[in-house]
Amino acid sequence: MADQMLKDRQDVPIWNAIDAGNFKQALKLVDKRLAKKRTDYFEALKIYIRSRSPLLAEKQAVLLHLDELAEKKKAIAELETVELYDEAFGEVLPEPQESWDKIIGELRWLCVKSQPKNEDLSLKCFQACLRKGDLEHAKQISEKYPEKQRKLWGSLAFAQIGKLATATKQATLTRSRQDPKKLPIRSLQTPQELLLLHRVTEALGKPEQRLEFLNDPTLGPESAVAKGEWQLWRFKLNLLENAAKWQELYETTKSLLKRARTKDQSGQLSESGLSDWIVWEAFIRSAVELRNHEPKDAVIAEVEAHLDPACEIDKSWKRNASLALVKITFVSSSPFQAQPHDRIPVIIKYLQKYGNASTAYNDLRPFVEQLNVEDRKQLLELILKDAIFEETKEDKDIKTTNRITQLINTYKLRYLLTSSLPEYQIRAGAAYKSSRNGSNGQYSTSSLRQLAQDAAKSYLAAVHGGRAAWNLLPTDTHPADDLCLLSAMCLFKLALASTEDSEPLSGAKASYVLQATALLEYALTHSQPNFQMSLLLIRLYYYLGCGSMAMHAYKRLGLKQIQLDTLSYTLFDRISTFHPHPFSHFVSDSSPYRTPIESLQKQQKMYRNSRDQISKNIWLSYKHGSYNSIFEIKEVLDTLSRTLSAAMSVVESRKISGLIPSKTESGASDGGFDILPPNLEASESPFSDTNDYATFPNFECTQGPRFEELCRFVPASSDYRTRINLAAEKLAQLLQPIPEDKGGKAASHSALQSFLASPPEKFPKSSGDLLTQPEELTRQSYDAMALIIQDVCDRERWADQKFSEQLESHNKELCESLEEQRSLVENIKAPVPALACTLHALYTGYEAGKTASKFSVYLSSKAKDIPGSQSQSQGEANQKIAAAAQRLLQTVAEKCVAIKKGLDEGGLIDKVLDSVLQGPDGTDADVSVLCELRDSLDESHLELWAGDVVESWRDSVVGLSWLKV
Amino acid sequence: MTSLRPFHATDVFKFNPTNLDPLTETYDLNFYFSYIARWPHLFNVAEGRDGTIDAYIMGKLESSPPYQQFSPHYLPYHAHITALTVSPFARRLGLARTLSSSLERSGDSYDAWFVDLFVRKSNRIAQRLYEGMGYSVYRRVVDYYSDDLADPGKSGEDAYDMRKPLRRDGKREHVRERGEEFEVAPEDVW
Repeated sequence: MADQMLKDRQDVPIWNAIDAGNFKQALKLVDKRLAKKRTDYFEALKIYIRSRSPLLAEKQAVLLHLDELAEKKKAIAELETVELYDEAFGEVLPEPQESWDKIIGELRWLCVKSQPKNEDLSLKCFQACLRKGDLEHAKQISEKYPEKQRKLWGSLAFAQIGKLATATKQATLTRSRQDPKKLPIRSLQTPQELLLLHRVTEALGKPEQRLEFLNDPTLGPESAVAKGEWQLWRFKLNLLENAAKWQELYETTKSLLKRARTKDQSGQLSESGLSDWIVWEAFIRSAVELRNHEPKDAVIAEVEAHLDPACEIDKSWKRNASLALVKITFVSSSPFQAQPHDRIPVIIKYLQKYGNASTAYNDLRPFVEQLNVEDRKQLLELILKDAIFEETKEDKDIKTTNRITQLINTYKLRYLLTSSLPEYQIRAGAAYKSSRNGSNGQYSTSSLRQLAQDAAKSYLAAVHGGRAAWNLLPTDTHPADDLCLLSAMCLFKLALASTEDSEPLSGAKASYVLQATALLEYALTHSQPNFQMSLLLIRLYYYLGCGSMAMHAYKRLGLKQIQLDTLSYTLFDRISTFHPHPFSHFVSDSSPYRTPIESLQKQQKMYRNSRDQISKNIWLSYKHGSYNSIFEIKEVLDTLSRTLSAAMSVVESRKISGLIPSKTESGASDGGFDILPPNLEASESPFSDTNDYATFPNFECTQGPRFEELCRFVPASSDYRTRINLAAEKLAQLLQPIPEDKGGKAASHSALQSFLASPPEKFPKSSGDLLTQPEELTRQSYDAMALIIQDVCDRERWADQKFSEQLESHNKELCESLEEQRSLVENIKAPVPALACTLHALYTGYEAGKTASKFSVYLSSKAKDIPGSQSQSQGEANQKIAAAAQRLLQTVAEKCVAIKKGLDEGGLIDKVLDSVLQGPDGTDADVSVLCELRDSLDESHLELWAGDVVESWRDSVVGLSWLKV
Repeated sequence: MTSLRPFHATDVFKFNPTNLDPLTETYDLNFYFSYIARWPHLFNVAEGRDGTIDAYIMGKLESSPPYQQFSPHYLPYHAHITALTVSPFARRLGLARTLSSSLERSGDSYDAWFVDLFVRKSNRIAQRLYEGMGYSVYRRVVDYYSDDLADPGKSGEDAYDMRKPLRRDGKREHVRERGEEFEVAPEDVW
């Protein structure tokens, strides 16, 4: 030990005393040296000596010191010093992994970070972290490696696994047949090891080397070691395509497809999986790239062989062959050819064959989009004449699953041809882009209205008579559901194309939203398990400001476990400014969904439990030799630690707790921040977006945005907003008085020092639509507040020549943004019923006003310290801020009173029904798509639903009572 | 289009189209990852356009633990379908058949005796599908499921343990006729 740690000859007596176990003497000598010169090294040496003491009190003192050291996050530059602390830690706590990571791992990481060019240092710290299983710090350190060293590590890994690959090859050469059981110990023997070989080789960017491995009969997809691992074929086809080895790709895929339809000795189609769509795609691509007739003929011949009735391959593989025919027709013919081409017939043929499956539309959509204008017209004409499914033309009964699915597919094509595709082309056109003013006027409202009406009519006819006519299990969705979804989606778009009216229930926008909602709610009575309807309803109810109804739709999704990460955003993003209080309508008292905060806590619990589950399975993978799985599972761990959804759960629950005192404990000592890495808002790495947008229904053209994106009433979750929210929470936390039992003034001072040490980043105004208007104003207020605190509380800034000017400007900005926010709230002209935009403006305005109020109190004590006249002028500025905040809070409170009063008045149910069945104000029947269908709708159900909507509005405004001045 | 690929750990972020269906349970990550850790080659996905998960199968290869070898319920080395789910939008395309065939092939290549699975007694559609593929009921597990999706008023539902013999069971020793009448308790099932 002494040999390793000895820095100076003068230290020899100290180390001799330590080695002799005379710790008292050693301490005396160190104290003497410290009295002469206080250095990190001697501080650490003292701690090390104390850690060797057998006294428990000494060990406790060492632990306390180490804890404080980690909290300070001070970088210690000398490795010897860090290693002394490491030794001391090992003396007092020989095993505890987590504490090592937190204290010593962190010290090592800070040490490396302070000297990024010291290769030796980083290597030693990397090894130490790896040895202790502190993968997080090991990873951070390895990222700081100089490029040369990183390459060295990669090369070592590659050399090692390459050696094993060679051993496998050589062992096979010496035997006539490869038997994995007879391979030497140091060789690749399992499919997972082959996948690891590719992972390592891919990381080093050697595609040729990978292809060489894949072409090798002892290591490739057909080797005995591979045991038929399909992923290796996927790698091979992909690499051949990237390398533009068209002839080889063509030969390979041709042979795979032939094998897929060839029976083995036992008469089984044991290789039918080789008819995978990726094989067909690669086959067609290579055939086209080879540019002569023979390969194209070969594709058609292979399609025919697959579709031959004598070929017994599964129908999913036959479908691939049929789609391959569509693809080869499109890629090998130009729509501008002079002679007639066969694009339309091939589409019709595919539809006739697979139109009774709901995937037919998805399969054909990319091809239909490539049709020229004339072809589109021709296809549309055939659809409108109902001339596609000739064999069933006589069968007018749509109450069979086959027939209704065919009908749905033609409706979707009609939507694509008449609405989605033209809309996309307008949006993508130069004229639209140059005149874009943020409106949604690009929609062709007449065709949308017609489609909405026709689809709703067909839907109502199909469900007439109930589920009994369809022989469905309780868990089945209704086969006609997509018709209703399509109609609702058209109504949704019509709503987006309409402008807001001063009276919410008198406008076309709310009328369309209510119609879509009514239709979907009716459809759910026929098809309870349809989750796409529930997803759309959450969004529609959000717009309407019906929190409890949105929660009811959310509850129907029955989300569990990881789904709480991917789909919570549908309701809980911005819940603190929508419905922060408990749901008292439609949700029972005993429901686990009773309060938003409980749902958010449930989500956070999932993240906490996941960490352990993941690390457990990393080791399980290792134990079972599933090396590739280790990397995959680790990726989930990394992703989950920084998802937008996790950050949302923290921010929203903290905001709600700040507004409404919770009766239940959060279960987390630091208000939920423990589920996120520290200072995430300032981190360079982006948040991971695991929100599931793809499960929403989507019939839009593939080149443009998905429907989920088109139907957003408010900006989606974003990295930008998440960082702003986290930084705002830090500021709010700083302004919060700390009670004496939790550290009082000392803790408050320490919080301020840490705030000043790493002040929140100033967020520039976003270039896109990432924030709502109230959020943007709040951002400006918080930015100004953070800057004022830095100016007032950081003495170093006082000497700056521009100090007064800057401070004045920040004070002004703050007052202006508060005033602007007040004016925004004031200008909500007709807030009854309160739609989501109204609730959002009120809660956001309140939050900004309340924070500014606390800010002025906080600052009043700090500003006194500023020297000269600036202290007085800041005092005056403070008073102005307090007054502006007060005015904002007063305006919010007045608006809340008006909303509550308005909702107490009668007649709202009739207004909702009129808006659905008669259009706005009962005058514009053109707006009501459902008007003509009212005879087919169940009016008693409609009335009950309208009553629930009104009740939900009343439940939503309960939370406004917390917005007190 | 049909394309199969291994289930990747990150697919847990994408499997809502199958898992929001009421017949498909969503478990904690431990459940999925333990399969990725132990039987990665038996956990596969059918991918649709844009990479959507249209269907997936989770399988395993195992036998009952040695201490059970004298039990009448002992299971020799066999493949088991733990979960097979197809999203409501990708039904009637033959994906269930395609995925289960792939597991049967793996079972054959690892020399397993048979493939088995549990299905709700009320799920006639699934039973018909498996019957069409050569499966038959081996035994009925009384109250195997704690709920009854067809009748929320009931407390539990029986499961059928269905089996299909693989190549190794040439004499069909591990299947029986009228298995519906052969009742066992959930604790007899390993």
